[in-house]
Amino acid sequence: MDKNSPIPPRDDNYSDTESAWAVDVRDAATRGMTQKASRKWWLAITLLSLMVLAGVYAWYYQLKHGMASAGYNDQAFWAVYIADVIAFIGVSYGGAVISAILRLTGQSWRAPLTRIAEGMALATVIVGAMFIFPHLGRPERFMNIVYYANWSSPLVWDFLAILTYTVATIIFFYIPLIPDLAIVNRHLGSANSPMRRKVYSALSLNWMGTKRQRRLLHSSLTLISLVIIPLAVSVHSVLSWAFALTSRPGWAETVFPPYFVIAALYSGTALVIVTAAAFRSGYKLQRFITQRHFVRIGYLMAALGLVYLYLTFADMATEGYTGITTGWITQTVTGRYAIPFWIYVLFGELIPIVVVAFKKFRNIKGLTFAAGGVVVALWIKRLVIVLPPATQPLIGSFWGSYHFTWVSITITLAGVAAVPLILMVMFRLIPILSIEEMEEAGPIGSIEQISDKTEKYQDKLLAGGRNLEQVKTKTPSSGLQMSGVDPIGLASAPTISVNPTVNPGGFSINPGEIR
Amino acid sequence: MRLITKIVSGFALVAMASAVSLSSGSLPAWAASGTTSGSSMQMGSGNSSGFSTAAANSSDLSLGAVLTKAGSDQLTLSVTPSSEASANPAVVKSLAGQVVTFYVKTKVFSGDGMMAIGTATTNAAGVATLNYMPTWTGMTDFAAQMAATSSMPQMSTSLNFDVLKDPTGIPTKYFESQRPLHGIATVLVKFLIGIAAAVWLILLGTLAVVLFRMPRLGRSQ
Repeated sequence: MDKNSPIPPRDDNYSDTESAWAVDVRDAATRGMTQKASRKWWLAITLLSLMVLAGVYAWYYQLKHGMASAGYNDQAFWAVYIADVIAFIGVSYGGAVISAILRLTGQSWRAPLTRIAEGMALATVIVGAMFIFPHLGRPERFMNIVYYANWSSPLVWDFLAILTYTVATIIFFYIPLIPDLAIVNRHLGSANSPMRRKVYSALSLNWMGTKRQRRLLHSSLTLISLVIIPLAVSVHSVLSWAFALTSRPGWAETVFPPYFVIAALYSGTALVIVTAAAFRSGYKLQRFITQRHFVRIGYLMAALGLVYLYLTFADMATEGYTGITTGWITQTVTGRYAIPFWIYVLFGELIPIVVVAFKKFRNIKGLTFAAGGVVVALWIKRLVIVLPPATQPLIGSFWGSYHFTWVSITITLAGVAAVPLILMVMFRLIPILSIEEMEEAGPIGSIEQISDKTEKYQDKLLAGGRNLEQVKTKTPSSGLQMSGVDPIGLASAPTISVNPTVNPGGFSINPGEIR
Repeated sequence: MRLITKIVSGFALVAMASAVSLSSGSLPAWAASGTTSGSSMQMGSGNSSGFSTAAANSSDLSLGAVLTKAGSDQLTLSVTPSSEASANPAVVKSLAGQVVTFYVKTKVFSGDGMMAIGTATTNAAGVATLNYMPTWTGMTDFAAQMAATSSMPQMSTSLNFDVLKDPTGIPTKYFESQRPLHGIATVLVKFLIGIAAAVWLILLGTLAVVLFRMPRLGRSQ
């Protein structure tokens, strides 16, 4: 087998169209790796690096001057950093689980998004875990959680769950990368530096694309996908128990585990939209990541948003009705935390629902705006979950208070900056698209996501009485498998040929070629 | 009557369990407070001038503590007039109906600090009582402060009390048995550790299989 062949052989025979598609995918996926970094890229990297460095300095300042420099006091003993931990690990969960669920359910349209979603999951879980250190105040005691583990404490389980989840995310990110690194090595050829070739070659584990290798890849990915979903659920359940197992009103809530899990999924879905929009624009991936991707994830985001709204209502209504410990509810809805709470309601619930509900707004810009709002609003919501119960007095009537300082703001912004920084550097080193998965889906598997003309054709098919059925069809010309739900009945059309040269800006269907 | 009994029993317990330190004047003077052992109450030092002799002065208050047996480690802190003050009805009258703020001395990040733990109003006998659940054991400093009024100066008193794990003689197991899931904790922990181990086994096992088998499957083509 020639390791220098431009496209590694597949088990299926490639048609010319599919070969062209594969080359296009590889070009797009490796564009960030081969092209010289633009000024804008360097400017962004410099700015983000400065923000991260500022955060490191702020942490040093905090270590030197104590937690009070970050606005903490004996009444607001938990505040912004724990909200950061929950928010960042939450969005990570969203990225990983969405990728895992779509993988398990065989949604071939996911292919252009998986690498971005998994990369985002990896970057955010690393940054989220880092926030535990400023939250600790005395980070040199961190290892005491291992040396003197109290297994009755949710904090020990938090540590274990986050560690396990981080390892799972790394494995989940690495395994789909194996074939892509081999493909990149061959695709780039001498354009790749010798050092990079060596590293890619080692990491690609002699990938030749054989049947048995593919089988091993798929079975291991399925297994990891199956593990990562309950694992992520457990991470957020345990994180919530760090609050819910205390005796603080507003934290000791039975609804907290699902509340945290749904919030994580919701914010994670939103961040997948934001990240996809940013890299789609920055890496010119408009041809592969289309409005349909955004709309589909947008539906998912809106559905999760409604569930989260319901859980918020259920949480507040139960305690509000009994009136036993309602101080934190009053403070949240009408008191000192009312402004952040209603910002959450507006940007975290109303706007996304409106954007998804009305076709006029249901486009990439609208959905990206709504998703950005959700990410910020859900972070604010985490603060609203943390602060009112923390500052509520258990004895007496003195409400504590928390005030942001430059230290806590700088450290939080450093975390925010670190995520795009990691992703931008990451996608200079590895392909931004999951090449193997996209080739496997092929132009036919991806056809419903490609062009508006496709949609019109699909409408025609629907008007012609094609039904919406679950299909698993082997198309005769390509030998490619298309599986899963086919909502537009494309599979009922025997074969669709796609000619990428007709419309270089996007694949289009030539009705004359429909056989 | 019940209150007096509680106070008296409290003082008795305090006398057995702790050394008592008392202070007067403003709270920042905490470090200067004197310490007396073997007594449940002690007159504070210092006096203030410019008030009528019948009015209370800063030495008229003392703080006592008792651990109640109400099925918890609850501590009852009581501020009472000193024996001399109690003998003077005019002083007792002036002490009645006043708001007393209780404090506990705690470490706040870089140093010691006073944390307010609640307020109570003195009754007709000039006694103010607050229930408090200590969150740590060992020698603990408490303080109480009565704000100045037109007829008397600001008064404060303090107490150094040894909060024991089981000062009431109630076995620790009693408290543990109050938890509904008591008894399954050990099993639950083992079960959860088992699940965590299984997850790690699947993750690392899968990675190991991929790392070792993948290159071989490529060569065998």
